[in-house]
Amino acid sequence: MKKLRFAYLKDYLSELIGITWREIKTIFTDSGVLLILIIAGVGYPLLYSTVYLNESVDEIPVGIIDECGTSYSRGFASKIDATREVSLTSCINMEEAIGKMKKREIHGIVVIPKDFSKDIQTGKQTTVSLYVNMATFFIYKNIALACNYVMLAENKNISLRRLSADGLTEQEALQAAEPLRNKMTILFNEGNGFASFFVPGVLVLIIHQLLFLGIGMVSGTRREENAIHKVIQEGPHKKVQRYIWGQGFAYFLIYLIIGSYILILVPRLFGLPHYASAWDIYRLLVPFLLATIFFSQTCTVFIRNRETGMVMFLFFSVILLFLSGLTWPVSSFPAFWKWFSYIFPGTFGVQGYIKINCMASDFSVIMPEFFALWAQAIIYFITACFSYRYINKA
Amino acid sequence: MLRCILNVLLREKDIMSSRPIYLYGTILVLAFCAIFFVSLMYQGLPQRVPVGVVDQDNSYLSRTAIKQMEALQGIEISHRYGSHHDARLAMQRGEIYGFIEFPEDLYKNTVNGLRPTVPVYYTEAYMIPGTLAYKCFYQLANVLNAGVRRTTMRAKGVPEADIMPQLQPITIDTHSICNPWTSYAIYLISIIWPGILSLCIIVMTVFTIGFELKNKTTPDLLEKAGGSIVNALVGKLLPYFLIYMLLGLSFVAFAYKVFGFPLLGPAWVMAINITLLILASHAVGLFLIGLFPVLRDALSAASLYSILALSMCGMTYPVEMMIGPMQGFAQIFPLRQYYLIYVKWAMLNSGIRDCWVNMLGMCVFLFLPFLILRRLKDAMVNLNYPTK
Repeated sequence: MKKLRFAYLKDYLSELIGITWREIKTIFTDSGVLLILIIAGVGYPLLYSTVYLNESVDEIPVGIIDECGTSYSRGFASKIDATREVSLTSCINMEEAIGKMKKREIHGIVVIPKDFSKDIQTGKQTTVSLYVNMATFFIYKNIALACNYVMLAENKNISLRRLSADGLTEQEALQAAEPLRNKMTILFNEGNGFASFFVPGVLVLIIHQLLFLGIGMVSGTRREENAIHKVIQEGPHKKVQRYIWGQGFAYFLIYLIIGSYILILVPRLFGLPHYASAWDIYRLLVPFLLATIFFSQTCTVFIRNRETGMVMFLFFSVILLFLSGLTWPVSSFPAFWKWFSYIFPGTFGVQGYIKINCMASDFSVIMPEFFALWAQAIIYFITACFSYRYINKA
Repeated sequence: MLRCILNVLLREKDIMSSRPIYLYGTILVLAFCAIFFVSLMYQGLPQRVPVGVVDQDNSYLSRTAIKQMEALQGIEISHRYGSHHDARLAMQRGEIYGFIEFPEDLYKNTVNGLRPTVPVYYTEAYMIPGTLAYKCFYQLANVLNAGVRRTTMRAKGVPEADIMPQLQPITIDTHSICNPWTSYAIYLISIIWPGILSLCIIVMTVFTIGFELKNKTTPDLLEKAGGSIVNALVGKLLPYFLIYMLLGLSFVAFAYKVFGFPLLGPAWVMAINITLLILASHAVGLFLIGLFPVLRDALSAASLYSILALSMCGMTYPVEMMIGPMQGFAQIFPLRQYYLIYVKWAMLNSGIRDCWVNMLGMCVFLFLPFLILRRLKDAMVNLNYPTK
C-alpha cells in the first residue's frame, strides 16, 4: 500500500514538472509572451521610476505683480521666492502675467495689492490674491502650500512686532501671538515626494497586469489552436487540477524572481521607500502571486484568442489603479466600488505593499490583506478548475 | 473610388457584427469608464477624510477643539485613541490619514502662558487624503490659536472690528482658475477619459487590421477596395472613427455643456481637440501595425506605448520637472498635445497664437501612416509575416 502511494506521488510530481517545464519553454520561445512577461517586467519598473525620478516639484515659475512696490512688499515677495517650491518672475500687470501663463512660462500669479504696506501699518487686514490653475495637481498643491506657509510666518512676525511695539517683552509677545504652538509632522513619505507616493503602488500593479496579460496570451493562443484540451489530456490522469498547478507553478517561479526584482531591488535602486525586510515582502508576494495567477487562469474563459485579452483588459490597468485606493481614498468609495475592488488581487497587493514597505508597518498590521490574498488564491483556484473544465468540454 | 470604400464598409459591418469584441472595445469600455469615474468621484473632492484624535488633556480647550474639528467639512473624526502609538498603528492600518494630539495639561499650560505644543501628524503616503487632512488641521490650528487670542483681546477691551486684522493681518485669497471648487473629479476626468479613449483607439486600430493579416483575409480586403490600400484603410477604419467621434463629442458636450466643467475659452476648441486626438490615435495605431505587420507584436507594442501616455501627458506630475530625455519622450504621445491644447486654449483662452505649435504637433501624427503605407500594403498582399 505504502509503495503504491509513493509511486503515485512520484508519478504526480514528474507529470507536474513536465507541465511546468513545457510552460516555461512556451514562455521563452514565444516572442510576444516574452515581451510582456519578461522584457516589460524588467523594463517597465525602470521606466516608471525614471519618469518620476525628480520626486519633488521645486522652483515652479510663478508671476508676481507687486502693485504696492514698497520695500516691505518686496520683502514679502522675496520670502515667497525663497521657498523651495516657488520661483518668482516679476510681471508688470495682469495682462502680461496672463499672457505668460497662457504660454506656460508661469504656472501661477501672486498679486500684492496697492495698499498692502499701508494696511498693515494702519492695522487693517490686507488680502493677497493667488491665481493658480489646477490642471497639474502637483503644481497647484505646491504653489498653494508655499504661499500659505509664507503668509502664516509673516502674520506671526507682524503680530510679534506690534506686540513688541506695545512694550511687551519678547517672551510676552510670543505668548500673546502664539499661545499654542502647532507642530505639523508628516508620517511616511516625509519628503512629500511624488515618486515615493505613486511608484510603489504602480510596481505592484505592473506585476498584476503583466501576469494577467501574459497568461491570457498563452491560454488564448492554446484555445485558438484548440490545443488546451490536448495539453490537459496529455497526462495519464487527465486532471484539470494538475494542469492548473503545473502551469501556475511556471509563472510563479518566473515571477518570484521578477517580483523580487520589482518589489525589492527597484525601490532600493531609485531611492524609493523600502522599509520592509525581504522576508516580509516574500510573505506578501507569495499569496499575491498565487491569487493573481489563479485569477488570470480563471479569466481565460473569456479569452478565445491570443490577442483578445490585451484588447479587453488593457484599459483595466487604469481602473485598478483607482480601485487600489492609492489616489482616491477608500473612505470615499461608494459601497459598490469598494466591494468590486475586492475582486482583484491587485487591491490587497497594493495596500499590503504600501503599508509594510512605505509606512514601515509590522507584518501583523497587514494580516487582513494577507488573509484576503490567501482567500482569493483558494477561491480563484477553485474557479480556475471550473473555468478549465468548461474550456476542456467546449 | 466611393464604390470601393462602400464595399469595404459593408464588409466591415459584417466583421463587426460577427464578434462581441468590436462592440466591447469601442462602446462598452468607454461607457464603463465614464460611469466608473463619475460614480467614484461624484463628491468632487473627498469629503470627510477619516482622522483620529488622541485627547490626553480632556479639558474645556481640547473638547472645544474637537467640536470645531467635527464642524469641518473636509475631515471626520472616525476614531479616538488612547495613545500616540495606537493612533500611529491605526494610520498604518489605513483607518485614518492623520491625527491630532492634545497633550496632558494643555489647558493649564496655555492659561499659564507656557505655549504648549499641539502636535499633528498626517501621511503623504496617500497624497490626496493626506494633503486634505493637513489642510483641515492647519485651519484648525489657526482657529484654535485665534480663539485663545481673541479671548485675551476681548478681555483687554480691544474693539471687535480690530480683532480680525490683529489675528490675521494678511490673508490669501486663492483663485483656482477654471476649477473654483478645486474639484478633483473635474481635474481628473478631463484628461483621463480622453486618455482611455486614445488608448482604446490605438489598440483597436492595431487589432482590427492585424486580425485580418493574421487570418490572411487581407487579399480579399484589397480586392474589395479595388486594389487601393488607401481605400481599404479608409473603408475599414471609417466605422470605428465615426463611433469614436460620436463618443468623443458626446463627452465634450456632457463635460463642458451639461456638467459645465468651467472653461475660459470656447468649448468648440475641445471638440476640435478631441477630433484631433481621435485622428492622431488612429494614425499612431496604423503606424504601429505598419511597422510590425504581425498582430501580436504590434499589439504588445501598442499596449506598452498607450498605457504610458497617461503618465507622460503631465497631468499629475509636470513634464517640465522630469529629466531631459523624458521631456522629449513625452512629445511622442498625442495625449500630451491634447492636454496642452486643453490647458492653454480651452482653459485659459490663449487663442491659436500660443497653441499652434501643439496643433501642428497633433497634425504631425497624422502623417505617420504615410511612412508605412507601402510596407503595410506589401504585407497585406504577400502575407510574408508570421501569423502567430
